[in-house]
Amino acid sequence: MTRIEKLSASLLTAAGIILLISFSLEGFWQWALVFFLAGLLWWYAERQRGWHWASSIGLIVFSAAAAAGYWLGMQLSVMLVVVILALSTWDLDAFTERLAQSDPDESTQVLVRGHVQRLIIVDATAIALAVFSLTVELRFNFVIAFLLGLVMALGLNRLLLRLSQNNQ
Amino acid sequence: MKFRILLLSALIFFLGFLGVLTRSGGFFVLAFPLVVYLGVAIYYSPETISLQVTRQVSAEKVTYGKPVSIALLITNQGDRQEELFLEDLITPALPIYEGQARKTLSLDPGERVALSYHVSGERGRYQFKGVRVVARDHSGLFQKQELITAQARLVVYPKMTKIKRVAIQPLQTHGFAGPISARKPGSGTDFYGVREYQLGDSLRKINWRVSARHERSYYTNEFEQEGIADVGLILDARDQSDIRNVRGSLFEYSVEATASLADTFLSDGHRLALLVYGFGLDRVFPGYGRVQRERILNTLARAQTGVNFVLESLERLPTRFFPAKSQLVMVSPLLPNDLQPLIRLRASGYEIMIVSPNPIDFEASGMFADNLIPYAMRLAEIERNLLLRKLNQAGIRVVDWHVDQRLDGVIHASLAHRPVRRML
Repeated sequence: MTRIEKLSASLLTAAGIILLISFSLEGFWQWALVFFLAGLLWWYAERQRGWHWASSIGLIVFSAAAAAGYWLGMQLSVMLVVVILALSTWDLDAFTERLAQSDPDESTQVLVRGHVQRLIIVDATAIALAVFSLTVELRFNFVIAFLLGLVMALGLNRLLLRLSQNNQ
Repeated sequence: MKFRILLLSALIFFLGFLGVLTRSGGFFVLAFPLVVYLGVAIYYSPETISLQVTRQVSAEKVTYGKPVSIALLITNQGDRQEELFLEDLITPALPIYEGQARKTLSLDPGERVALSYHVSGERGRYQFKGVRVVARDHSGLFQKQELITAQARLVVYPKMTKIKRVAIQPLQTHGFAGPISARKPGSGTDFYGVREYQLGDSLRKINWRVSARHERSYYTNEFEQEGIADVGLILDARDQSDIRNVRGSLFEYSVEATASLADTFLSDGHRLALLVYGFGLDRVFPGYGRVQRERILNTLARAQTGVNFVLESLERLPTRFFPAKSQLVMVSPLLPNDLQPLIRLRASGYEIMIVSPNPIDFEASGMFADNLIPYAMRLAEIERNLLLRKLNQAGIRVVDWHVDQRLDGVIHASLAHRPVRRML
């Protein structure tokens, strides 16, 4: 088991335990069990060759669990941590898959170090933004919020279209 | 990669939609890590790949089994590459036994990286096209792919075994000194006969014992002239005469035998030509020495079996390609309908020798045990022995080579019992 795989497994375990405890404390122990089992399945899939799709399903399940947790009244900061941990695990799984295309050597260690540093920066930035957004309170009526959402969706859509054209 | 981008976008939309629907900012907060992750990936997405690749191959032509080292030097002439996957595109017929042809790394502007590995492959001609480069951002969401050309060629000559001098008996030899007895007097070493002394004969050559029996006349010993011969090698590359099983292809043994014989004949100083008869007519015109050896090995390196309905029978063998009265050496597993064309070839004035890799043993060795196999083998052996006997009767010498045995030993054992030359 490489360092990256160990790190990925640790992050996943942390995310699974947080979900289990949070849902159990709120009395939704059945859902806690379901999410914990999903985490176990993800953990198992990480060790299987060709099961990389499971990682994406894991991210969907954990993000949905975090959203559900927040909706059910659990602490937002805890659910945010769950999303960050799941996203990091998903990223590291994909990175492991890419690294498996070639044999590891000295340059791979440098690449791994750089990748983990970049991931930590991304996670830290996300947390900082979240903290900032929680301290600043802006009130919009529904129409403005809807319009803002629409603009965001359209903007993101255009951006993705352009990027996919570039990729082709 | 596209799927991952879509997934991330879908999750962001989903959380954003929930936020708008419930008018709760918490869902937006939950989407922040995903948005930041995607944003950073977009910011660092690879724009251009500007790499220079130089390739060095330790040898362009190698003998079978000899390792070849390949070194690639890759220089980044553009911006920093967050994550690069480099793969030298090599054919699976050239397995890597040391080093690696792939690498994942990051490259700073101007930085160089070396990729080196050793290959040892089967007979053939190989072309190295270039290096496949995939540049990605750190998350792997966006990527750019390019093929950077760094061409080189490698020829792996066929496997060869050392064969001692092969006793060939061509009907005609050349004037140059060589190993073949020319059946005429000349400057050789073997005794040929005696004739009456002529002015200028060396006194050391006078046969005193014969001269003593005659009054006033002397007799001189004559020696047999030894010359070089014209030899034509024919490699049977017809698809129907090849057998493939778990042990490989019988054709590879034929190629090995042809290369070994070519080496022996050229070492003996003969003038040698090659014809690969199968899919087409790949030929090397008659020649001597090292350059000819190189030409022949090059041709054998690329020799492949193939189907050509025109060349299914040996009837189409281009005899004009070989000088008249020369020695033909054919390497072929032999097919039942090869008998008549070979007899006709012999009748047209060629001395023929056939080295025949035994297809029955080879095919049986790759089969599962079955009660009927011994009977089938027995029948096939009878049929083959009959064919070989008919060829022998026609004055064609045949070496029946069971490919597990050493070729050198088999050739010399077979040629020790020369058949009686029969006039046709």
